[in-house]
Amino acid sequence: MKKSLRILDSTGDTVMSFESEIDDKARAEAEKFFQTMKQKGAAVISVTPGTEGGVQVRDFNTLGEENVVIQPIVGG
Amino acid sequence: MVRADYSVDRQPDGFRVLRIRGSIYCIEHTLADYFLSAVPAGEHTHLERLLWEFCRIWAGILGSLESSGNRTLVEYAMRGLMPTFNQGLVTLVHELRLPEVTLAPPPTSLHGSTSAFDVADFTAIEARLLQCNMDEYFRQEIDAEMLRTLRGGDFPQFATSARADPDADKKALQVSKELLLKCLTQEQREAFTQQGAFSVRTPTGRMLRITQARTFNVIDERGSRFCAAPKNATLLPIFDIMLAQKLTLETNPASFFQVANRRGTEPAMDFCAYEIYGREGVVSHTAGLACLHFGNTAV
Repeated sequence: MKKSLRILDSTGDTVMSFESEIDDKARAEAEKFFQTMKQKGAAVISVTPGTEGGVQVRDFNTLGEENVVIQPIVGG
Repeated sequence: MVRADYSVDRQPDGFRVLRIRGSIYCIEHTLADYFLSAVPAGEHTHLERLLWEFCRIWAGILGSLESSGNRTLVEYAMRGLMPTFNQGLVTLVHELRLPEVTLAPPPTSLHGSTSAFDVADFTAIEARLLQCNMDEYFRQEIDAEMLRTLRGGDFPQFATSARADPDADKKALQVSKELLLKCLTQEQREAFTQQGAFSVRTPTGRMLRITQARTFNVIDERGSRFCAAPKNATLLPIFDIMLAQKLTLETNPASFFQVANRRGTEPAMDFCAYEIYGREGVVSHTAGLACLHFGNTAV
């Protein structure tokens, strides 16, 4: 299954995609990125386009097809 | 001195938008020029309001610097620019002919003691600031930080994400809008298209409205406004901020409300380092970072 991580940034978003069962290298790269961002306090939310809500992803293996990476929320 | 460009637009929703693009170094002078030229002589009440706005703007700038996470720049602003800022205030205060004015310094540091920072050479930083406009500076700095993170993990595909394209802002806005629309429900999408705002429901059923503004744009059913956004919000297109707020509120609202600043039902004042929103004629004090005292009255 193709999965993607969308990182919200100054370009709008940057997408990191990988085939979870085919491309081991891309998968490992994505997992490393996932862990790095989680360590920094980012939230990864699995979304289903057009539906309400989403699911907080804490384990890389439970990523959905579309996932949004949000840097830690801070008071403005 | 590099001169900042500024313009004032009135938005359809009644908000006045002051846009500043230029070196932070001369913002206060430019604003002082703007304020003084915009107010007819003798209308001191109006001028006072503008002076207050000036303080709030400075507070907003510092707030934006802080939220950028760039400690070097924050430190520079606090220690290097404050005297210039104060001089700008003195100019305005002189125009007001106020007899007793005490400028109260802001908190020693936005992050605690200033000694926590290690800034050896303000001149070098200043030189860099003068060579690029502020939003570019933020973008470069933050992108650089992110790139360092990514490169540290060997993610070279992100190495080209630094902004060199002059139309980058428009593209980013478009990209973020498409992503937001994609993630909205049909009902939310219709509301957003028609009103520029949409409602979200937390897991406990609480309804909140997310409006198209950078700060204090989350409103509950009682009219209270909340301000919280991703750490890199100063760099994000506005629709990314709205998306982050939507997803956070729908999945983990506690993480939003634990950190969100809250206001009552008064109109919002929205600050950003280079886009400053203000509702004309609104005068109210702010728990900002810079304070100005008229006699014993803190503004």
